[in-house]
Amino acid sequence: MFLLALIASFGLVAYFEYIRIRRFHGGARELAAFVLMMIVAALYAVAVILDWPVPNPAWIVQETLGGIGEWIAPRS
Amino acid sequence: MSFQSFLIWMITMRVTPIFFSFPEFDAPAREDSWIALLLSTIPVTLALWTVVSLTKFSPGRTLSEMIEARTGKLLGSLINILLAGYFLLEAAISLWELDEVLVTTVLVRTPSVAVSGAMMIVVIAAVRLGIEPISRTAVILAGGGILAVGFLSLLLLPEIRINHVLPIFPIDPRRMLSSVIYHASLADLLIVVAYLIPYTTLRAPEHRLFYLTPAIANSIIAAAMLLVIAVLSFPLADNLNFEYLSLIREASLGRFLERFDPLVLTGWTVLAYLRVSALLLCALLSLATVFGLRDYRALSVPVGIILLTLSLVVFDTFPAREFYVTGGGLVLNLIVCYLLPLVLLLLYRAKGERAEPAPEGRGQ
Repeated sequence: MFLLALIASFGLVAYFEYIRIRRFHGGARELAAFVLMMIVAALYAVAVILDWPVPNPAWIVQETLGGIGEWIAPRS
Repeated sequence: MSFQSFLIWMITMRVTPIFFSFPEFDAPAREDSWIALLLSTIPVTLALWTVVSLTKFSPGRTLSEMIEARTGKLLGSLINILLAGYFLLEAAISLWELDEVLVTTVLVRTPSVAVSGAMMIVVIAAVRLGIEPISRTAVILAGGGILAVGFLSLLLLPEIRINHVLPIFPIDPRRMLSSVIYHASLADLLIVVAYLIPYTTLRAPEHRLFYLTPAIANSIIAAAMLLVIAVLSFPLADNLNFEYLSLIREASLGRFLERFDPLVLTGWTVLAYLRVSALLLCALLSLATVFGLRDYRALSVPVGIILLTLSLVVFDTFPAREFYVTGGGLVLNLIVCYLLPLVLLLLYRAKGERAEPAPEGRGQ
């Protein structure tokens, strides 16, 4: 139920944003960029709500560069 | 935006984290970290010179546009997407810290998503209004913050114990060097300056004052560190999650005026909005360059939703945040804030060319 409400609210936001973009003379490029980012945002939000495994950038950075950081500033 | 408001906004952006997680206390030098913080002013100022020098090669262009101009559309877009991810991560961490402070101290029954969501509504609305309104509010908010913190610092003077700060020597040189690098990595205002400086007018006489920005910010933070250590002692402060908030709880005016922390938290929350909005703006500018948009506002809502979602999952615990800030986050900040502008400057100097002026309308 909460998920449906969330998707509905995303749809509402997308509709009002579409009107705003058209009002301020946004073209196809603005609309396409908005739709693409909105899809990404909606998928990410739904994945987090449903507890799907989503990439955590902080974890990725820590796994990749954490060793170098520990060498530079060792924790006491 | 005016130079003065830009300066105040950037200093506020750098200083704000001390009111929440106070990352400077995680440095290896421990109770001598305030010395390392002041020493870190040197590399930060040198990096600021790099950023300002870059703008002279391509006046009026944002860093994203300069990256694309030098590296090509494909590589430039990839770098800009990574930079947008970096800004969103930094903003998400700030939002998470704000949420942690509020939810664990004053809003204990409020879900995190409500607190962060309320902040994001304000931030998105401000970002859509533009850079100028945000910079103007920075002057008012920073002034209020200075008055409040100054007043509370006066109330804490009787609680100061000099023996908590002394002795300063001996200093471990290895820890001091590590701490200088760590404190320098916290200066993410460098990359934000690189993005927003085309929107301000930086005249020649103002250059000198602008180079004082790191010194001013670091002095404020060092003074706050010393105050926390002098009142609470370092071993106690080191075990706290919210060092400055715990310090404020010691302040009182007789018996009839105490427990300032809920009131002060309100002010600090507003300061956090300045930091999050600056980082979100930079992310939007990066993505607008990738998509070739004239106006970043079309992306503000979806990117704001991504930022809100990211802030809910970025860390589970406070130790996880500390591991990140002193580990991978330290290296990432050094790469983005120091290495990237330096490499770009060298690329511009090697080519010896001047880019075309930016399109009209820049500078709002």
